[in-house]
Amino acid sequence: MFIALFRTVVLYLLIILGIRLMGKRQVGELEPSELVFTLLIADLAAVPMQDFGIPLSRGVIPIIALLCVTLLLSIFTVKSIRFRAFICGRPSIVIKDGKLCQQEMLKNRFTLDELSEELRVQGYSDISKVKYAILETNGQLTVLLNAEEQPVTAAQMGLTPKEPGLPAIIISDGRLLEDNLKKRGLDDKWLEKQLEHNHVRRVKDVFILSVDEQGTVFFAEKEKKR
Amino acid sequence: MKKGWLAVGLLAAMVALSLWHVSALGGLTGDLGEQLRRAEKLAEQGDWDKAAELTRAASEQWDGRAFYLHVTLDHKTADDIAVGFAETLEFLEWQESGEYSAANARLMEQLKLLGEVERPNLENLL
Repeated sequence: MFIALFRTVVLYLLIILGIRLMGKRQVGELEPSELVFTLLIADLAAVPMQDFGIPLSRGVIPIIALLCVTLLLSIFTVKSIRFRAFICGRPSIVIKDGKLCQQEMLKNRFTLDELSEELRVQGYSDISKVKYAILETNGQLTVLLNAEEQPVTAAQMGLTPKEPGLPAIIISDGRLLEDNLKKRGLDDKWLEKQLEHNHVRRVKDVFILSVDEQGTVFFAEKEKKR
Repeated sequence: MKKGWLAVGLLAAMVALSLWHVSALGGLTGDLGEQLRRAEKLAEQGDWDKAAELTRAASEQWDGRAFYLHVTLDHKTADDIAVGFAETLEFLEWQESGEYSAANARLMEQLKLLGEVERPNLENLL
């Protein structure tokens, strides 16, 4: 029993480390090499986890080796455009000027049903209004509308709205994040004022308090336990 | 780039370690096989005590590497060989020449196959 527990914890931590080292991308956005790594490590870890007759090293060494190779491939794909194209492929234009590029769709084995579904998911129903639809290397579809179909921006209307900037969280679930407070150039007096203004005595009672670069405060009190 | 060098270093270390393992395992199984062959010759000449002594020394050498063997090999493989040594020693003690010969041959073959299984040759790679 102890062996099972120990092995499970070691292999689990190793997989977490592997996924963590791969970065912050979601599973749907993985490069082919990373996707293969993800598929393989689960299986590699499961065997020594279940069968105590197999040494732990039979799971650990292949996982570390895969991790190293994946890491090296990632570095090479960043450094070399050719290598990136070889490993990850190139984006394909499947709609150009409202017309389907059937050869490209065939090359990517991308069916009309899949294209229609992707367009519907993104809220487009009329192919003729699409300037470009690009099938990205991670399998996602990027849709660019014709200029006359695109939403009007504030800049096009000659407006200059204020930039709120990035909101910084000052209190998160009852904990004061002093670094963020200092980075915003604020102090304890300001904080006390905010608490008083919102009729709260202690930091512990605040669920979230954030402030953006314009000084706009968002405040939410913690709900009382029933 | 630091991560890249770390990955290269780790891969190199693992390659070095696995090559060392191939060599160490090959050396160990080769040594033990040779000892068992000599023991069989002695037994054929009727020197059962010397044969038992040699086989016991080989068995102790195997048991002395138990940790290394269990970390790197399937536990069943390592245990089967330990059982093989015990069986061979028992036949030696009772001077059962036929059974001893068969058990010793099986043990030598197991050791030979074990030494070969990790060797980086085309047969194993494919």
